[in-house]
Amino acid sequence: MRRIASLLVCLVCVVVFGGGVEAYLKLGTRANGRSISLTDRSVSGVTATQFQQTIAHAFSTWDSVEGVALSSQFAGFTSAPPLDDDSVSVIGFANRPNLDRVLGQTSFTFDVVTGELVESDIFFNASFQWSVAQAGETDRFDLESIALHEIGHLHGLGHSGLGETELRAGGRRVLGAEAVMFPIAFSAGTTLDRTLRADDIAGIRDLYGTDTSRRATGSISGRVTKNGVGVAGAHVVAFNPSNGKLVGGFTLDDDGSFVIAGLDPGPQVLRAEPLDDAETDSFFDATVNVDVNFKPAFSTRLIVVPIGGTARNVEIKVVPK
Amino acid sequence: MSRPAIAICAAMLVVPSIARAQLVGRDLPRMGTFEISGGALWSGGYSFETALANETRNPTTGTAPLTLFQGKPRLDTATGAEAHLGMYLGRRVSIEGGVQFSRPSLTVRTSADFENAPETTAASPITQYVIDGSLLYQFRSGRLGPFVSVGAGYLRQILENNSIVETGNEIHGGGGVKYWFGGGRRFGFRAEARVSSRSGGVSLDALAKRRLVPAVSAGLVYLF
Repeated sequence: MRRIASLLVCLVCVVVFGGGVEAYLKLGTRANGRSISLTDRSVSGVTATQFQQTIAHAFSTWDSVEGVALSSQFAGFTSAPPLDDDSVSVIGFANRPNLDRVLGQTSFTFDVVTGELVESDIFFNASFQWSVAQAGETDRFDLESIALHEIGHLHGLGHSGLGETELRAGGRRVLGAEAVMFPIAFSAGTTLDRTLRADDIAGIRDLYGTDTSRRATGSISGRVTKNGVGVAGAHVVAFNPSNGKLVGGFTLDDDGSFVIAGLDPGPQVLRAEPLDDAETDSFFDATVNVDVNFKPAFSTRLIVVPIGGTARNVEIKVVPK
Repeated sequence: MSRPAIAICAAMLVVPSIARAQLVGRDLPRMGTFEISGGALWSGGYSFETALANETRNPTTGTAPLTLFQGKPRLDTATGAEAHLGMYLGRRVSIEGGVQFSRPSLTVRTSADFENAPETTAASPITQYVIDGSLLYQFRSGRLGPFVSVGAGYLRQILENNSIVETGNEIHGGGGVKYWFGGGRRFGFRAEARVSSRSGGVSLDALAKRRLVPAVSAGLVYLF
């Protein structure tokens, strides 16, 4: 067998923590052109038809982002379950009581020789209670919200760091988040994550943006340094004071370099913080030496993002905790 | 000599003496006189609405948004230079065109950070031009001449690295004094205070409102 290397798995968890990579880390995969089937299995609270409609709506939410060239259409049901190594990409429910904090998961299987994406599945954990009700249902997780997150992974987005959590007995609880792609879900009963935020939109535009969209937005590149040395794995947030939009990114190497794309032109405030609101492996693989030993800090430079260009050489200096 | 002839001679003696007094004391400005002036400028700043970096709150932990931090944006005060070229329409009324140049900073003071990041002022310099026209009225033509002015102008603000240009307009009103040196009174000192009501230009909030900007200037003036 030439292939079979499950490269990257992205999780959304319940109250505890979850796990993915730039504003939106990019996974290096693209959904366009792939055929993905839906399992015809019903679960409590969700019929196969409701499942299809909900998944279709979640796809259309991503497709309808302005300035993005994405489209999807329903191709049909299958009896194949998700997460099987069958070279068929499937979205469906699977009962995984052992994954007691995993609501959903997107997996990618690559041909290790050619690098070709062979299969990408999304499963929703049927051991939880699900809802497709318009306003949500108490104690049931909103399928559309979780589907929107997982389809973001399918499109190639990793996890966002735009969220705050608190440690409690048994794990982490989300206090607030400003990205559907944050790895930890809101509590059961809420439908707030049916709406893409600025961070999600910047991410999908970075991957699938039209030329017009790219000319209308800009980016920031720079470094996060501590005592003059680059900081890897820092979460960098660009804040637009004109409209309140928050878009995040990460430093991806030991040089502390980062790029945040898809930004509105104009002045932006930059803030760097350690990745301490979820497990670092939710964002990076083991090859990144994530440094969480520093205090959050702002750039002393108000960054002006040019139209269709990049504001460069930004440095955010942080100090150890 | 007849009484009418005496009266005419008296008038001839008197009238030229009055005319001479005007010429010696102040023959300028008059209609068609030009005035050029220039000097230093101080331009006031203004604040924008406080900007909140809000995250959506998990409904089980509260209802208000979670504020990651807040920012207080402001266009700072600045010093610069200005120049005017005017023309008198009469002894007391003149029109003039001018240009102001300054380099204020656009700043955002961040505070109330959810994770206790230290308060920081992030700044970026901008280049600001105001090109305006004014109508001036001089109250008197003595050595010290107070005046008032009203006018309107075009605002041009260029952000960092010429990356973005914001434009707007302004109307202004103010007053000042001109102090003329020497007997010829062609050369003098001009000081002025004005308030400008600006629309457009760079904005760090969503409010489309006019903003009041005070300014004072002082410099030299020359008539020709």
